[in-house]
Amino acid sequence: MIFKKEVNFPYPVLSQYTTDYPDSSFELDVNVFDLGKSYKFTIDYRLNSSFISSLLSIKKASIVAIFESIDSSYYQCCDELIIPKNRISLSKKTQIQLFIKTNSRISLANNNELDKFYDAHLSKVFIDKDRVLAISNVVRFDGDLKHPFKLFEKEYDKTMETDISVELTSEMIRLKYRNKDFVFPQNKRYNPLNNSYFYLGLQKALIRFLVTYRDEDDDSVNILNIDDPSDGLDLKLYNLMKIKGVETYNLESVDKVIHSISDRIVEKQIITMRGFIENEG
Amino acid sequence: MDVWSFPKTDFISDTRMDNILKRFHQYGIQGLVRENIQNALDANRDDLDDPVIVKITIDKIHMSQIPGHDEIMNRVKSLKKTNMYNEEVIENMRSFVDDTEFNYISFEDFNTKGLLGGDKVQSLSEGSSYTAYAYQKGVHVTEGDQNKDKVKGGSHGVGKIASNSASIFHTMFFANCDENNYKTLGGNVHLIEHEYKSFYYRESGYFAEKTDEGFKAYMNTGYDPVFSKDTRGLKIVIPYAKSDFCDEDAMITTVCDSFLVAINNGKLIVDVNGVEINQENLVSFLFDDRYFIQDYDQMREHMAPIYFRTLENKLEGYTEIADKERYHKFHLYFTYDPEIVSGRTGIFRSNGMKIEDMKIRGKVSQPYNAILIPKTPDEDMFLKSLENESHTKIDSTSFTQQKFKDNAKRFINNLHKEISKVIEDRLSNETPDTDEMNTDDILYELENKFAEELKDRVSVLNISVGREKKNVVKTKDTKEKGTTPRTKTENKQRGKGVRLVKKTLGDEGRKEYYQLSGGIIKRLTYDNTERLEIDISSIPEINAVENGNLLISMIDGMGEEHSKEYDLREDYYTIDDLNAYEKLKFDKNQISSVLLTKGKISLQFKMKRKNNTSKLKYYLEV
Repeated sequence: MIFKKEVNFPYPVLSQYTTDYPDSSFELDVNVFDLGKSYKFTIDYRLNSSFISSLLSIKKASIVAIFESIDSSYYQCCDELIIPKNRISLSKKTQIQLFIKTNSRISLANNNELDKFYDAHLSKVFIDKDRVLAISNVVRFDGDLKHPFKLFEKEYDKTMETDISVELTSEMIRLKYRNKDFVFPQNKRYNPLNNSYFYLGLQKALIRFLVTYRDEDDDSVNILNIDDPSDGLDLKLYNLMKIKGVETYNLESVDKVIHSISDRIVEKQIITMRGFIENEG
Repeated sequence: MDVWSFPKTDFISDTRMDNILKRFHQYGIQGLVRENIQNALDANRDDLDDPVIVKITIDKIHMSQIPGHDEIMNRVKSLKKTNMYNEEVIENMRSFVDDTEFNYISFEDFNTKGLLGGDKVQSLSEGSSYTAYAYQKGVHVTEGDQNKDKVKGGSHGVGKIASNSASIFHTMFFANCDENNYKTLGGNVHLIEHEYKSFYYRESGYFAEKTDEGFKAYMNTGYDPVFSKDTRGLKIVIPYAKSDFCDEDAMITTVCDSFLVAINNGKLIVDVNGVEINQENLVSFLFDDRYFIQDYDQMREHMAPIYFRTLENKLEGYTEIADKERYHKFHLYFTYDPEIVSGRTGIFRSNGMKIEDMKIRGKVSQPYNAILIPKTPDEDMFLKSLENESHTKIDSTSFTQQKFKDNAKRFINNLHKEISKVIEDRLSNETPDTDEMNTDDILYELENKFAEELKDRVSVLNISVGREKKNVVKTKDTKEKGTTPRTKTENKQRGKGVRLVKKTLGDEGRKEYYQLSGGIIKRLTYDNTERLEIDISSIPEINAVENGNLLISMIDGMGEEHSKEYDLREDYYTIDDLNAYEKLKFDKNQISSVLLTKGKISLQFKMKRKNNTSKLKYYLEV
């Protein structure tokens, strides 16, 4: 199981979701290489905890890697893992996480990295064999995105009935125009005049996101509670919202979300327009 | 001695005609052909490599040739028109009662197994494929070979009625010849409950001998040659066939359209009144406008000519479509043709029968044609479970349990999504930008901004995935950039906070709770004691609260949250409030009236077991 929810164990655990070890960290980075019939994953972790590191060195603890793709697989950890391509599919979502487990019953008496809450009774605390000591962050791979960073694409179609149409494809927000002239030149001077189209596109995409992922009885969606979307466009919006700290929104607050994730696009458009008007006048 | 047996009943309770009969009439020739040929394909013999052959005959028959004709007519004459449901049908039946000549349609299969169990006396409750076919409307009997059974078509069990519904008097016969050359003739007729010669009878009658132990099939001797089956297999004879079903050309069109893949793969040969359709000459039917409209603009159903062209393209590969639990693999054939006006995806079963010309959402007018065929028997069985009763569509109607309905809907949604992607993908490869402006080169300032933001969290690796080079996108969910050791203050910000949520945690329905994040909670166990501390002192929204209820959920090994099932009384003897030096009341998953001193909760639990390692989630109700 990939640990992502905020879950409390009845003993201190090192993870980014708790403050049991205030100064320690356990970070994971993974890179992948294609070897033809299999993939090579290089596991690059940084464990900043001398207590746990020493347990590892005397083999009282060991690192396990979880690969969650179509199903979950566990591997004893090392620097690299070679996994045949028929066991793992990078074109679907694959998540990797490390955790450190105890190999035998251990005492926390010598652990001076813990929050002071634990000080009083530390000598009496024991953690049994095969329990989780530390959990790393999750690294996720999606092989499906053709344009991982682009949100918009443009198309012209003379046969359209309307002047403009906003379509949501599996990865992008597609702005369709009946005529090339409807789009302002893409250079620094004129481009902000196109911002209202972007606004429309974002609005539609965010509303679709809301409808798809909202809680059943609720009219709002909680970004922190949902699993990573598998749809390409939704995933990009999800990542943007997470980066910008958007936690929840509903139909009424869509504009607020656009405001958070984009950079003053309405304001910039207005400034540009004003500029032209004043110059004309 | 009557040859038709109708079970008696004490009194007439239901005079409505079975709705299934009406529905199947609407499915028309397509429903009839699919049901009967599918049964033949399923009965193919594993010991033979030869294709299954189905001979369809449409001809006339005299009333004297039909076994028990007079009995059926007498019964029909005694049917009473009691309500609007049966009025029309009975009226129609009555209008033919005095005819002497009728149409009939027969389906005879070769290189097949026939039904098993025809030689035994069957009570209505015993299961053999013979009984299921002869006497029971909604039963499907499994036949031993697990894998084979997964691939067999009929699942609802009601499809047999397709043959009855093609007959004016809802009558059908089946002549069976099993592996021991044992030849029997059976039949059934479905009317309504009726009174006849001072007794009341149920609606269904059987062409079989009624003995004390059950029904015994008649030996197939002395009947008209129309009803004879001399080689191993099954022959369905539908006397009194409705005229709209007796269309030779329409029959040929439906056969080619519904079983294109089976015929093309050499697994099936069909003969319609002497006209044979096989692997070699299939093409000549597909491109003959007597059977298929050739003009793409007008082609709306019967799109076999297009599907054929798609099949002739090289196999595209596999596509995987997920439901709530797993991925299902399918062979995918795909063709792009600007002439195509109605874009359809043909869903076929591995036995070669088409289930549906699926319209993919948003792509109904795109110039493509695709075919999906399951890769393994598991996928085939899954697809079969999604078929509606007439094998003409996949949907969630065959499930009554919500869990399965939801799963089916999820699969179908994903099917639309995946095929959509494939369509977009191939179409964009085929249609070069008519406009030279390539969006990749354009600098959108806004786009750059998005890209910059996303790059903090997301990076791209270029490795090859499958046959093309793809971008593998990597996302890390570390909350902070970089890997430098952190300072104490930065750490205190990590994972802190509460979130107001609306949930059902107790017996009182949905209420508002503060979900407490891991960073403000500390738990420790030693000996039989557990200590819990929750620190909300630095959270402005609620740090002034003095008193509240604590609610707890358990997280299981799969990450699922359980609140109602968690009972504190099973794990703990007592819970002390260390702020108040008092014992706290607790019940089910709630600890009541917990005190907060300077924004901190401090509790001590006496555990019932030493090795309690439950992973818990905490909520505060103020």
